[in-house]
Amino acid sequence: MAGNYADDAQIEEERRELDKALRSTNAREKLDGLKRLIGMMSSGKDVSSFFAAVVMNLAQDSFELKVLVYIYLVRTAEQKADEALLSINSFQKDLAHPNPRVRALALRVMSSIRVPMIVPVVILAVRKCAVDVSPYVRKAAAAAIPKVFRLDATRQNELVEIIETMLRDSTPFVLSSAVAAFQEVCPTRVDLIHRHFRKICRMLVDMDEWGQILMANLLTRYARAQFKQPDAYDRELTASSVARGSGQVESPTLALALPGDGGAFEKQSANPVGTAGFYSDSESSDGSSDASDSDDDDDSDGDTKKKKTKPSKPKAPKQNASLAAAANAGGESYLDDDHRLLLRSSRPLLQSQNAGVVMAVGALHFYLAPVADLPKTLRALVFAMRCKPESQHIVLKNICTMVAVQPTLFETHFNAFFVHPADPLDVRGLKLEILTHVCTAENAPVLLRELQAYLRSSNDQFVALTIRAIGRCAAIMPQIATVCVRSLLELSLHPSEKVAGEAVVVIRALVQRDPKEHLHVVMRLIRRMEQLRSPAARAAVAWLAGGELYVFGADAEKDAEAEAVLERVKAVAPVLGAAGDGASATNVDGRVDTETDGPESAAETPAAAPSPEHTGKVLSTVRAVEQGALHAIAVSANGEAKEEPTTDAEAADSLMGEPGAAASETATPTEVPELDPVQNQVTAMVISSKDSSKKKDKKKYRKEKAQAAKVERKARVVSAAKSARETRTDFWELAFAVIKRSLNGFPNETDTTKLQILNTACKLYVKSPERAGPVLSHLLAMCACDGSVDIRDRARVYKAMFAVGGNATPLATFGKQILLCAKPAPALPSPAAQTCLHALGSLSHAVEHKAPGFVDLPAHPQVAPPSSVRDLHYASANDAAGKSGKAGKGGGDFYSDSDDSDSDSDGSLDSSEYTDSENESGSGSSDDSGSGSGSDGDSGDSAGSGSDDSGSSSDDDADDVSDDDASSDSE
Amino acid sequence: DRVVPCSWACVTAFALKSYAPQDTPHASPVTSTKRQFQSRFDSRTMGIGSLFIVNNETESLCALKHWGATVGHVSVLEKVFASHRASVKHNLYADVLTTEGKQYCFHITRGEITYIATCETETEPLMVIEFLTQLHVVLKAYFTDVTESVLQEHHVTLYQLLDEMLDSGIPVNTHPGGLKVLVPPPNLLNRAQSVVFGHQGVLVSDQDPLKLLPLPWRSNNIKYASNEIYLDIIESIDATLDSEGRVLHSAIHGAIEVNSRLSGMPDVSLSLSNSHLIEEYSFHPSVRLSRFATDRVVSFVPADGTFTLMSYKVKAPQVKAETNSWQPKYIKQNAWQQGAVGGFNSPTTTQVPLPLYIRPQATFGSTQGRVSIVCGTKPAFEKPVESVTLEVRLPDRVTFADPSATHGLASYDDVGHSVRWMIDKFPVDKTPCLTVQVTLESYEASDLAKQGGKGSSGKAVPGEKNGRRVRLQELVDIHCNFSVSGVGVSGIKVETLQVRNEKYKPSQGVRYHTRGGRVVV
Repeated sequence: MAGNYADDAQIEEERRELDKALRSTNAREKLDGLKRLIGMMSSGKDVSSFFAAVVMNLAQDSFELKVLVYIYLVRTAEQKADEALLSINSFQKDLAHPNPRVRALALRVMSSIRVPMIVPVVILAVRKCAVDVSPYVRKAAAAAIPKVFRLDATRQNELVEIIETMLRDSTPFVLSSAVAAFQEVCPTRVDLIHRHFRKICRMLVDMDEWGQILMANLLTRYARAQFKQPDAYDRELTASSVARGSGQVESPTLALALPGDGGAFEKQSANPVGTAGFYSDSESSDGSSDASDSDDDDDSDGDTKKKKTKPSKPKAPKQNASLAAAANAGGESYLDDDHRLLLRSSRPLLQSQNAGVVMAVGALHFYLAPVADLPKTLRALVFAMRCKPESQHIVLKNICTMVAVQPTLFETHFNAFFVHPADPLDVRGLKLEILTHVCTAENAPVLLRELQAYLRSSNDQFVALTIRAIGRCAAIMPQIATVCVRSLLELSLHPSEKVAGEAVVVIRALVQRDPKEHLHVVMRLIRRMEQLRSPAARAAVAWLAGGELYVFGADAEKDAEAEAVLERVKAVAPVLGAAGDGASATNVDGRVDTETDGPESAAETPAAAPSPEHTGKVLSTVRAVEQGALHAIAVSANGEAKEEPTTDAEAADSLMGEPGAAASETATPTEVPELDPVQNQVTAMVISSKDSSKKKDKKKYRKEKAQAAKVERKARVVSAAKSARETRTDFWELAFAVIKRSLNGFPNETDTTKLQILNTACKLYVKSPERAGPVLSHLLAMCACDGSVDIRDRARVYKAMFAVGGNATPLATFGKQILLCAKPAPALPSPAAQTCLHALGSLSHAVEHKAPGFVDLPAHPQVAPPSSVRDLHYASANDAAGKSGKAGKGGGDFYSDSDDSDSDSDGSLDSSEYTDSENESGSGSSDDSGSGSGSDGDSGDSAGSGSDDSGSSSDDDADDVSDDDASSDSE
Repeated sequence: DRVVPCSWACVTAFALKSYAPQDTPHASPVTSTKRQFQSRFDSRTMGIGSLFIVNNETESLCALKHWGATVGHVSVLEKVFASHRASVKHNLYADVLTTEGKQYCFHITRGEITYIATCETETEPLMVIEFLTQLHVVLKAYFTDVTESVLQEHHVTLYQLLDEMLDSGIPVNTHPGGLKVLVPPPNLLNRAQSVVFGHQGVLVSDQDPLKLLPLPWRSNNIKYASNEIYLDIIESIDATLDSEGRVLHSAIHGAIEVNSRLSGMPDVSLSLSNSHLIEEYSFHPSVRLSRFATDRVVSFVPADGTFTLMSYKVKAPQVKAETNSWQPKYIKQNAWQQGAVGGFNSPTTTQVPLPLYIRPQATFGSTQGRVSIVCGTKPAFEKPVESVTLEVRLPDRVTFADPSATHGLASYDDVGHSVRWMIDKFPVDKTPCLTVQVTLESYEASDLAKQGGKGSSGKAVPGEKNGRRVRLQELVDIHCNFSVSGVGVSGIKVETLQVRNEKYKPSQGVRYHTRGGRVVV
């Protein structure tokens, strides 16, 4: 210690002076010394060397001096554990001080001293103070509990006992600290809460805001464990909704087609006027029903049995005003009484100025309230977000999760999420994420205009995010895709690599969804490949260039289905005759057979053989060449079940999942049922066809083919339109040229780009082996000496497949299918997974990982646990409350509906003696208003209660507060 | 080169670190063994662990307090300052959450003071942030302005306040009114007493808090010679304008600030005209919510001094624009657009009564550029628009700007790349105009610099295309502030203000004020 300052004489002298001042007999000098000491402390210096001198002052009577010493003690006691023990005695003395302020202070400081040795003493003190007459001291006791627990967790049982007593307290001020202690020490002991649940609910409004936050959390967890789910809507982010969030449209879980309130909700969101009416109605009826509820509660506390006989009366008749509201009541009707009490009593908190309260209660409602009640909650959240720029980020994050779960909820607020130029980047990202979720056909134009404005921002990262958002919107709504692609095309020339790359990637994804539409876009893009620098963009363009065949393949299939059924029959017939294999008998293969093109026919012959064999072959190759696995699988799936994408996926899955023979076995059964429908179909077509038309068509077909063969030797497509063919030719030429040129810079490309160029080259080769051949072999040669293992492997596979200057391997037959199989359009994932599964409003949610101490929300029980556990203490208080309940009605109606019920039941819960005493006094009600309003300080409304409180407050909290209350009320 | 302000990614990285106590090196053997034992159970400590108050300009520590184990403050502060600097540099709102080791740090900035709270475990983030916000409110109520020197002067009061406000890491009592009973503010009277009596003035009141404090926000021994209550209704307009000056999006938010200097325990009820316009509202804890829900009367026992009674959001003004076929759900998007354009010339139908117009024009060449802005008031407003401040944020590649204005003051700030233009009062006869000549870093130069690394792929881009790129890229944000006193823009007015429960007749006053909230072009 001294070593730090040994070289600095001045400081040393200061310290000596200070020490002298502390030991001085003059109170003023002491005070000055202490103040200076604390000043040193606050600037981060080590002051523990003065410990002994300071502790001596504890014995002083001056309150100011004490406070200063305490401040010092708390800070340094940990470093001077042994000396700290010396101070215990004076604490003990202070704990018996007549002034509650001193008692509370002593307890607070004592429990803050982090010296484990004093734990037993502190626990004793806490126990004593927990039943102190002054709520102020009781609050300090409640606050001390977690501190002790942190110091020595083995004392949990003792502490739980104390908490149990403290939960009975009826002062909101104390209760909030007691709940904080409960949350920390024994959050799982739900049984302690049961009997206080109703009391807590009613007191919620009267607590301080911090207590409300803690309480809302506690109640959320409690209700999740104790009540059934409010309705069938998703409350949590499930895998399906995540998938939807990443661009898969309309998963069934989100279709709002539920019986009952689902219909109401639809109506509500579809009709804004109706919504407004609904809000105002529900608000006013809330008000009135609150009033009636408070009556109801008064009665029920007066007579528990009565309450049981009329369980869900109050809501239903009031909300008949509008259809939606009626449905709402219907939806709510099966909620537990206590569940509704919770929702009702927490609703006013949404109007808090504290964003934390709004968030906590918002989360509570989101999890527990029926969906029809949610809009109000959400409006409050959106409002809170605007009011507090600091909280904006976290609120947004939570809204983002809510939106991902229930996108329709926030539709009406969507312009609240427009990005402000001063928002930090992550807030912008969140806002964009929310915007893409709430995007609907109605608001799409506005949204797009807004997004386009963002594109002009000078922050490249933000622009990239915006592009991604546009892409996601377009993926959700194909009707705006064309506009989006056009605007994105401009951006592909953006000076920023990142932006341009993002634009091209998004275009690619959009194009793949509807290739025919965007043909010209693709061609323009390919022409621009030279100018693109971002590797991702180059890879995407390279893919698009190769995508030609895919583009027209899809085209062809459509055409074939639409116009040329007969041709198809014709084409299929020979195959039918040859092997009876329907699966590989796509019109393409069949036709090629009839054309008898040299190498191709050879290639097709094995293709016509039974497919299980193929699978086996392919599989063996799969095992041999690991890198080719995906493609091979795609082939096998493709060859077997081209007609049906689902089977395709299944087969692919099974192949991937199980290696070797097992896989081929599983593939076989999926194959077999596939054959039948195809065969049937084919036969039916044969029957229906007429000879004459057959001939005619055949003629036409041949003529066309002859033309087409000039350009494309392997004509897959039967398309009559000449222009289409021309574009196709152009396209091919263009792609070929681009690829050829890209070979120049090939070694400098990144791996993904290289792979795509290779793929494309192979695709081009498939189209036109003669022209693309040299290019491909050159490319393969380059790949073979590439640095990346992946690329070398891929090159080897392709080499084997296309037999560039070698023998044909079995793989060759699949070359076409491997490369040209239909690829699923890629999803556009959100730039960062902005949503996560943790409970709303929690720290874990904000930081996207499990913070220490985070406990997942319990799931709703299938069958609600009996609600009688919560009745327990009312039953015992039945008699007493019955007599006292009547007079209390008008009294303590300050903020909460009825404080009175709590306190009298509370007074009587402990033991039967209290109930007796209450019976005798007979005026328990007036004391209720006394205690209720005393705590929340109602001065105007409950003035009437002031007269008789002194007489009756004795039985209110018979154990503790009596004199205190009386004094506060008589002010 | 751009610093991303928030580091969510690193949050995850830090989280998996094992429990390693960072406590003081002075821990005795006893405590250290205890701590190991404790670490198994320690997983549930919640609430704020430590609090630092720092000066963000000099980056020095003003005060610190630990509720849990001691946290090394150096690394935490480093992190916070870094994030703060980044947000200042880019003119953004600061983010609030960072991590350092296993600490989650929340920080908010008010003026030169930054408040930092750390916690280790699951704690409601908003609770912490709100607490810090409230802490500032309290300190402001105590010391009127919060600066480093003031805090150091009153460190004892500060520590007492912290003690009272936060117990075991959970906020307890944060109403300035209530705290003043427990910890008397350092005012002149106290100082005089300490001089006269030769003894320390009342540092701490030792009276029973509950006798004095029936309501958490109001003590009952408040006495004033003259009783006054003043209301300020402050409304702010948020608006987003596009480059042609059309209003894209707008909203009105309002707040009622009360300055109450009333003795005893008055019960005030306030009724507002046009209260149906209020769409969303939040109240001070003193307001009886049920009363407002039933008859729209704000009824409350005021806290002493200045506080925000309520804040509200005004309903989208479709009520006013009845002639216009504006649809709340943007079904007819074009109608809304036309409405905004039409409303620009005829104020009767305007949805957004923005009292002034701004027309920016920006042209950027490759090395030179020019921004000119015309700004003027609309005649519809009866009260004059005052103290208009326009902050023009220029693109990053601007190296120098030379603003000149026909009226008002204009200055260039080269750190934030922005030009500030202040107009106190609009001249009657002419419309003020701001012209900014800017020098730009040549785009091609920076372009080529980027390409240099890429090697062969970068060929010279045709000049015409480059021009197009630039135009797309450059965007000038203009943030506008203005104020109109004496008028509430939404039409919400105070109808009656009644004070009951006390005998005196207080003097009352209401002021209306309209501000530009977040007006962005």
